[in-house]
Amino acid sequence: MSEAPKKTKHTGPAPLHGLLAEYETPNALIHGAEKVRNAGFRDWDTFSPFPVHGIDGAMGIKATILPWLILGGGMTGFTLALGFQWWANGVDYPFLISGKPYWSVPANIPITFELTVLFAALTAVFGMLALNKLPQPAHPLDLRDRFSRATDDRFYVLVQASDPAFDERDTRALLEQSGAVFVEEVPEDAASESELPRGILYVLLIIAAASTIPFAMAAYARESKTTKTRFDIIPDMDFQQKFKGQRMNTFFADKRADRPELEGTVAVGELHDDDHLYAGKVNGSFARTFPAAIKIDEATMNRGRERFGIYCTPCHGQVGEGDGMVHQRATSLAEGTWVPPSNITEERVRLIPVGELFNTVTNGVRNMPGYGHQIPAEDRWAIILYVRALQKSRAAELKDLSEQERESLIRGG
Amino acid sequence: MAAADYESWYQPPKGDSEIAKLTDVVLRVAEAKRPPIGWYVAFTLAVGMLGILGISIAWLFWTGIGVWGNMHPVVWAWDITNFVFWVGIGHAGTLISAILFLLRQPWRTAINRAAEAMTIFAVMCALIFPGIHIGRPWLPYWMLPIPNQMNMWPQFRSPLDWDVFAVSTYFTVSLLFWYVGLIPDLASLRDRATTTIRRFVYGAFAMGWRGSSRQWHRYERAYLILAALSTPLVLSVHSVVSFDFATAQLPGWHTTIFPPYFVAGAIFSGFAMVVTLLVPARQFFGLKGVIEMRHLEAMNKVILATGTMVGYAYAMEFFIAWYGGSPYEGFIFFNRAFGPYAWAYWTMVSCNVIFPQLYWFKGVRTSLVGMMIINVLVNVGMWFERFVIIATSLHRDFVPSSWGYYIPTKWDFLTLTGSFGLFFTLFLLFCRYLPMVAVAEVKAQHAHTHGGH
Amino acid sequence: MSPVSKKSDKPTYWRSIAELEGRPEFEQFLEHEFAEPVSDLPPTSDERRRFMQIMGASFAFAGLTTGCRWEQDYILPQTRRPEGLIPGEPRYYTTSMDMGGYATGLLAKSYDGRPVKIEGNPNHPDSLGAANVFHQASVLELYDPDRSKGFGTYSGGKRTDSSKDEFIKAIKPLMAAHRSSQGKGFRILAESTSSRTVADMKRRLLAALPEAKWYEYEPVSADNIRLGSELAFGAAYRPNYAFDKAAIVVSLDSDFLGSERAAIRNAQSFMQGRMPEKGEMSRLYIIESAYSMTGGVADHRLPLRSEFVKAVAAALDAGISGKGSPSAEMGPAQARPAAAFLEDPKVQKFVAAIEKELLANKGKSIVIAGEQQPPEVHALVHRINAVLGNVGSTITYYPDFTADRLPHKDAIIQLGKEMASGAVDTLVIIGGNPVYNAPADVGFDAALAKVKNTIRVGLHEDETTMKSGWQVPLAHYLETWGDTRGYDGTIGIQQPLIAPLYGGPSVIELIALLLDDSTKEGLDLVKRTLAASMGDDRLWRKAVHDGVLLGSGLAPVQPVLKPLGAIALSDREKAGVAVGNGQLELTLAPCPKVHDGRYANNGWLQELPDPVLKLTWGNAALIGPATAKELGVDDQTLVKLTMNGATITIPAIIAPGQAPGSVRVVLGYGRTAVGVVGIGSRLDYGLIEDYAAEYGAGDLELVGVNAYPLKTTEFGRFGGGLNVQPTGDTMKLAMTQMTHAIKDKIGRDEVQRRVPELVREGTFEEFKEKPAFAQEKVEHKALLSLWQEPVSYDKHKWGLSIDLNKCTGCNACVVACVSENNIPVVGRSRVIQGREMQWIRIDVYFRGEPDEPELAYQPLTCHQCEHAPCEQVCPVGATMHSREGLNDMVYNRCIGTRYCSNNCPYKVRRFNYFNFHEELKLEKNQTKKMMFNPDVTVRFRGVMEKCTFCIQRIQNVKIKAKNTRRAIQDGEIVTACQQTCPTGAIVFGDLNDEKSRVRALQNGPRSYAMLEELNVRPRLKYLARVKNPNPELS
Repeated sequence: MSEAPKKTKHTGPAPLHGLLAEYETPNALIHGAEKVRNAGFRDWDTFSPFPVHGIDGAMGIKATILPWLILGGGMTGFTLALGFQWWANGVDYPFLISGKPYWSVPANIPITFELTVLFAALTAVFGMLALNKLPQPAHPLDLRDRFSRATDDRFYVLVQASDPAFDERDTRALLEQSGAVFVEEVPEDAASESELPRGILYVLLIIAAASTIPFAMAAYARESKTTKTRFDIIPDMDFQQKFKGQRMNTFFADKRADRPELEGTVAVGELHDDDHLYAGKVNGSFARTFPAAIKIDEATMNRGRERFGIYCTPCHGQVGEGDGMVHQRATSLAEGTWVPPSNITEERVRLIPVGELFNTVTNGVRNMPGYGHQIPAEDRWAIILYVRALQKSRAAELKDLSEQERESLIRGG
Repeated sequence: MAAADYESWYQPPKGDSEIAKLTDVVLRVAEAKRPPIGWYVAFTLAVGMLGILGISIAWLFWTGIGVWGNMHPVVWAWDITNFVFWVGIGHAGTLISAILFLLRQPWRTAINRAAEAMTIFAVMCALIFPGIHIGRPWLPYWMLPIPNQMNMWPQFRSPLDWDVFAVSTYFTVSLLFWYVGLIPDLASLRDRATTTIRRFVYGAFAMGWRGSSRQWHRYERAYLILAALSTPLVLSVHSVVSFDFATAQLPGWHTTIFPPYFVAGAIFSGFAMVVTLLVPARQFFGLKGVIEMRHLEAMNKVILATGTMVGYAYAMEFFIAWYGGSPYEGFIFFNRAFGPYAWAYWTMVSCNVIFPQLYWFKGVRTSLVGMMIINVLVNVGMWFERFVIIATSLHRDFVPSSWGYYIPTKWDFLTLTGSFGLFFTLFLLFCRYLPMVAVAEVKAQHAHTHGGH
Repeated sequence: MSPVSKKSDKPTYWRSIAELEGRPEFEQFLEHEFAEPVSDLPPTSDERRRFMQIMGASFAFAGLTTGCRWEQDYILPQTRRPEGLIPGEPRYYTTSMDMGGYATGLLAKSYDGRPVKIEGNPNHPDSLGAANVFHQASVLELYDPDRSKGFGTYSGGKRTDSSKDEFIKAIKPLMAAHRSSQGKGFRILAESTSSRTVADMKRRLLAALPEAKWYEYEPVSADNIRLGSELAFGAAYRPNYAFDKAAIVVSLDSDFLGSERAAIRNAQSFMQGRMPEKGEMSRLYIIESAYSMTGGVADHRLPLRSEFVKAVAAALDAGISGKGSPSAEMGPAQARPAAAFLEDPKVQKFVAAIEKELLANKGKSIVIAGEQQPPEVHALVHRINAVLGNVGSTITYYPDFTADRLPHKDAIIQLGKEMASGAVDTLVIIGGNPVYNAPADVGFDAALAKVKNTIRVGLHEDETTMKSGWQVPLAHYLETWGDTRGYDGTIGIQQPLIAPLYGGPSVIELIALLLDDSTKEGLDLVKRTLAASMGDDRLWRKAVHDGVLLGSGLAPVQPVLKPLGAIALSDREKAGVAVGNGQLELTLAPCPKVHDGRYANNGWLQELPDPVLKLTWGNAALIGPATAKELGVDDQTLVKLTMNGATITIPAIIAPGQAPGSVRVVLGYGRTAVGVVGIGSRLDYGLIEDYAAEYGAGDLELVGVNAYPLKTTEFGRFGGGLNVQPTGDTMKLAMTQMTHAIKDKIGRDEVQRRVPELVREGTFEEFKEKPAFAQEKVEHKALLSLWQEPVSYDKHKWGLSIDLNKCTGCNACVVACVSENNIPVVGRSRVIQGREMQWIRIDVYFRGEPDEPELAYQPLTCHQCEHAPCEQVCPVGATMHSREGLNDMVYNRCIGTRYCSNNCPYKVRRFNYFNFHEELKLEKNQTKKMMFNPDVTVRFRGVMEKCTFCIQRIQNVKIKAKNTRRAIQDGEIVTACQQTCPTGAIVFGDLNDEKSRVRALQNGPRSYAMLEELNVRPRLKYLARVKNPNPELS
């Protein structure tokens, strides 16, 4: 060529997308493709109803990286599966199963294999779609009726106007020479930008909106209060047909599943025929001594202190002077009905026989409730023992102290 | 009217080129205004059976799985039998499309599409059973790798859990494989569509496929690799299913031959089912030209081969039972053949080993009636194989005091029937609305062989 | 909106605040108060209590809030809690239960004032801590929703509700009239009781009404023992056996370990003498017509028609009293009877062997005859024992404290006559069920129509009620005070655990009512009677606490024999072994499950497999294989039994070991007026199917077949002349084990091959030369672990040991387990389908000749394998191993794949195919819920379950031990099955504890693990069975 021909600009209604050439046979397509390729075009493609052998070479398509992606997918699946099984059964919540090690590879191979394949396959499919830029709802070619045969029995070459080497006249000539049975202009498709038909777009929008409703309801339920109990469609074993303690049984008029103990019955181990130990009485009158069953020693004393701390201090106070928290609160509220707990270290109480004290602890006095059902007899005696000690300590005299105690006291004073 | 349509299957295909004719002959099935009358008959039947499935499952949820005959000691019976049966059926499709694809078997293109579809539907049927066979059928998701409400994970040592992964993976991959194969044909349907609806629906599923060579390039690569992946998967799925039994210590289950034996059996039953479905299909829809006798014959040859393998497995089981010297295992197999369930055992043997041998004769191999009868029998036989393995091993195990004899209830029958309903319903819908043959592939095949005229 | 007040006309009797309902303020209180949450309670305890009562009364409202929402429940604490009562903490009360005039001391476990579990009272000589199936199941009887609810009047089988007051109003004039007529025409028919208070009330009644009469009747009676003793000694004595002292025991048709009186104590002492480790074992011979539990443990068993026993006894007497040292006053020995069957070589050899052994073991032997055998046989046995010098050494005689009453048979005959003659104006029927079970020829039903006033006092409204006038709801023994006497007369206290659910009186309270006694309350009546023995209140409280008055047993007596005439034998009793149809023998026996029919409405017992053939839900005609072949009868074919002019149609079972020519049918079935369980119809009862559908028409709609029509006053319990006609139809029988019914040869041979490996057994000789004989029965490779075990069970290591030598197959453990672990009853058709739920089962295998087989029991429960195969296959980790080596079952994790059951070699897992507790949703079944153990989950549909080694008991003890900072003592944790086992065959404990019994046993030579070759490492091990056969016979 002596001088470069002047490029002619396209003049028409819509901007030109490119030129489309139609071929009748795969071989013709390959021939055409080679021509176009040799002319040094870049923005061009060929179309065929089925993969044409040799077209890759003819068009110079480079091998895709898809296989490498798939390899990556497979490896991810492998690691994920193995790692998860190890973590779930071996670390997070170990099961002791048939006396076997918490984790061992053989049992995990099947699942690992399956997930490897699964991930690889998913990558293969979606990777392919992504690389092919699918889905692609619209394309200028869709407007050319002839092109619909691209999925039937015809073969096409499309050279895009965007290619720097594109020149309408020359390219058309090139294509016509390349054995195309037909060449036509492909205008840009204005509609091709707006992907979806209106109607469908609305439908999709509505669906999207509707799909948020359940979440909204859930959120509302979480935030709002109700007196109704929560949903429990299938009860499974949440409520069993048996009576646990203190439950309700419609069979009885008082609707209690718990039945009262009958008059005169004696439960095993509750014969309690030692009146001294269990009633604090020795032939009829309150005992002045501790029962034989109660050892008077350090252990019992400590037990007594502990129990006293738990049951008595709230009202009677740490040292039994009747100034416990409950009392303080009651007085601060100026409760009219409040009967102040007695100071158990005072003379009056000191003279009460232990048997009577025991009886008081057991059955209560004035508005002090009985503790018989809460504190076992032995512990009640231990408490009495500790109370006695408290009383002693409040009324101790110098002679009651040992030598060095007196010493320290004097030095201290 | 319908009759007229029926005629239309036999009018010469439209199109001015070989390829165009090919497109037309396959796609007009999906495009016809009305399917042949036979389709309606079959479809009504199928939907009826599907209804039965719905009812029996509802009743099961309402009362409990006690509605079945399962008892002590045969706590697994038809439920798992059906599961294994359907998974087995589901092996043909992917095998045909994957393995035969890798082996470059040209004849596969005629049947792979239908086979894959069948696979997917069969696996769907299979997936029902693990779900409903459990005592509290509202909780199957506890087997999935998500923490349940006790914040626990599944116990991955259990072969049942392997099943969950194997079968669901198999289902997903088969579905993808099938769909990828469909894309170009969906595109053809889109481009031939006459109404906007069809155009939109097929278009949506075709995802804007236009047959660009650059896309074809990646497409082919993806398809090839999918095939490569599916091949071991097919083999693994039934192996894993067989682990349910092989890893148990029950005599009659605890055998190392199970994985290959199950896979062979699966291919066996799968192929039989494909043929059973395709013979009527090609008659109805005038696809004789595409699905040719040679294809069917090839299938029957495979059936003959796998059937013989299965027979070998049966024999080998007995040999090992004797050779292994475990008195319990020895008894189980002796009891299978001559005990109370002998009837089931011999049904299985005759259907799976004896009848298929007739395929040595070309006459039988190539006669439609012959292959229909034998292949239906094969499917019966394969169902019985699973029943025999499960029930006869359980009904007389170690301690004689708990021996028993399992008898199915009407609900067992109804559930099985129902699952067939689901299967046929889906398959008939497929025949009606999707190309039964992979057109693009056949075209490529055609162009390749006739070297572009 | 007040279903409560609606309901209030349907009376649910209760002693206290019932009146609250229906009051206006109650209604309005609900209106405003109910909406408010429980936390805003009125402050003072008084108001609080009222609120709680009302709150409680309004449960009906809570009932509304069910549906698909989380249930609402209310907590009703006691405002004044008695000392020692902690909610949800079990307490134990001693009590005792009388059955057929003989009582056993029991220990009742009570949660929050509700008895839920019955166990044996260790203080009581007839229990020693063990209980039998009837005791265990009596708690279900207490809560049976079909019990008689409230007073009522019947006419033509139609009930009209009434009340106690109306009843009193009605009887006042009646009794006044009778008083004036000295009680002429006033009769009482009571079931036998050992109670002294009842005896006292009887005395008072007869004092007030001299002309009146008091009869006692029991269809299944032990009177023959007493009559036999009168024949032999001229006085009524009760023999009491010390089997542990005996070297040779010969049972003449006596099931002394099973169905007979004092069986628990007999089993205990018998098994004392059967421990091979002790170096010597007793030897048991038995001659019986049908396989009994005793026959199951016998060393030598001769199947022989019950009729023939008389001749055998005579022959023995001839042999022994002849050769022996007969004292002058006892007269001559019997002449050797000329009976054809005695010439049969088998029989001859057997009898000769017995004779020889007895003579060789004078003073160290026991000969015992069955209760059903005629007085003569007992007389002969008394003589033989006396001659052998067993009296005083192995046998002690006690005076029979019930001797003052007429024998049951005569009583019912006499009463029947009086009634028929119209001499009876008023008949009070206390307990029992004569219309159903009186001898057929008495015609009680017809005669009853002639009686003007019938007052029926019973737990249930049964056949007799339907024909009576007044129905008085009898109080259950767990509801009222009473006293009982043991076999040797030991006084036991019957202590109530709960107020009468339906406000019924006890027997003594009723009679006090009739007599208009000044003392009315049961407690006072009992105290009044026992004042002599324990006037002091301390003594009384002690007795109540212990459950027995120790040392109150009667003093033994030294009986003196008197001459006995020659025993006459009928032609049939002389016949040969082989007999034809029409000459067959029929034996009637009490059912080991429903006894004489009184437990027909007890689901636990109905579903209990019978000890030998594992038959549930019904009875059948037991026919020996050879005889069956002759008659052309097969398993489960319907046959017509014709005898004494009556005919019944009943399914047959081919029973191995059944004597040739003898047919056994158990009594107590085919009840027509009984609760939904006994009728077996679907009427309210959840899942129990409608039998009518399966049985077809006629009396077969009922559970089992009523055999009483064949029972006449003359016939007694067995006799000849039976005719068997196959009808050609068949009927399915619900058996939990079909091993003996396997038809195919393969199966039968395999069972015979396996049984010796599973149930290992040897002779005493074998044991002596090689104690570990059992461990080499199965050869296998060394059992190594394939992997590193992640845990070493170093803290606790629970294990169980079951001694097959001690098991009598009595089923007590099965019911104990059902009761302890809230195991559901599934019903007949489900059992037929193979869906029974019992966690522990007792397998039975017959070995050898089907006509003379040996029998082996094997209690089987979860083996708690260390390498549990069930665990590795569970996809959701619902069953896994505890750190103490137990195979735990976590119900709420289970989704029911049932894979675990497939992989369990012992097949001990049970599956809830349905929600077997469905029926508890019904309002009428509220009472049933009370029997459930609150410590154990009530399983839901679709969940797998199995034995847990009573994990709840283990945990309770562990908690107690922890609180008191001490170690768990061996024997402190006791599983339910172990606790109730009469022979102590089951031992549970910690294998890490050097001193524990279970460790010693499992390391002992007899110990073996079943199927250990599978290397599952079971924690349950068996002690092999050791028999002591006579070398001359084997």
